[in-house]
Amino acid sequence: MNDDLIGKLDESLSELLAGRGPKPGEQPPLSELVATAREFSLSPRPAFRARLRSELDLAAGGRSSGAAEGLDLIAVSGKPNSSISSGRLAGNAATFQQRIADVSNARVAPGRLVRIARGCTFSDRGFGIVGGAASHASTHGGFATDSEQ
Amino acid sequence: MKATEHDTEERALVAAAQRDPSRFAEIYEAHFDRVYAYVARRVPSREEAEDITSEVFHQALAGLASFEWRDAPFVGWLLGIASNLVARRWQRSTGRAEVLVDELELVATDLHAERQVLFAELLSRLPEDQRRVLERRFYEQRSIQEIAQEFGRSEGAIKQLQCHALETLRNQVKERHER
Repeated sequence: MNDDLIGKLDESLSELLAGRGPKPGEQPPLSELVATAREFSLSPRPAFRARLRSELDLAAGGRSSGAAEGLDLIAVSGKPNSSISSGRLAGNAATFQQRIADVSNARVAPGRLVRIARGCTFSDRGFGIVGGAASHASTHGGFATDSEQ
Repeated sequence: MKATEHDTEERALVAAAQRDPSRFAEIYEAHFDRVYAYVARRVPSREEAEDITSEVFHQALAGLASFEWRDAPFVGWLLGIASNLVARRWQRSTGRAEVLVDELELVATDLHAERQVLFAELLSRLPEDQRRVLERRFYEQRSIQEIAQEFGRSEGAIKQLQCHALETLRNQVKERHER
């Protein structure tokens, strides 16, 4: 493939990665390579797959042990700037967002996982314990992290 | 494996995970590709695909204890959750508590999932510099300029590597289909 086509391919890929559709009039081999790239762009990132597995393992572990102890254990990732959705927070997102504003304690490294007990808080900036949850959480080990405090 | 054997195994796995949530990881591994393939083709960005896929499995884990078998494979339940989340994401009111995924969609999702698995395998076989360029460009959404700086090479050289990588992938996909 010559330099001109290589340049055009990169332009098309930039459009693709920006979420825009294929340019009209693209011919083979360019159109074939863009189609391959489009399909590749729909593949999951291995890091995402592994991270979600870890989150679920942690959440499942919480369901096994936490349920018996009356804890509400939730796993979230400490990815910077990630949105924390209601699905991961058992429908308690509003409360959770409110609590995030109060957190100014220890930091959680990017990509680390934390386990949260009811009444504990977590954000990209750190985590903490709200109100009378401290003894509840610490007694049962529901407030755990693999990140250094 | 015959469909009935598969059904029996799947029912046993789901029952095991309902009793012991730590077994949910096996369900996740069995269905991740199909769920991701379904979602990724219905949302405009990788970030949204990841966010919804994540919610699907977290909701499934949370709701597994109350899951009951109907006349559909287990993945249909997962894709139903996905479909509802996608619909909600687009603020389309379906007016139904549960969106059913039809058989055609299941077949298409299986095909897409197979392609995903194939791409992952082929990516791992690319020469290292080509593989790294595709990972940086597509998984990390880095610009050619940033990749060139990281690799200590010219932007032209990175564009060439990107092109060769896609040519290799395209050729190998074609080869697989011709077998």
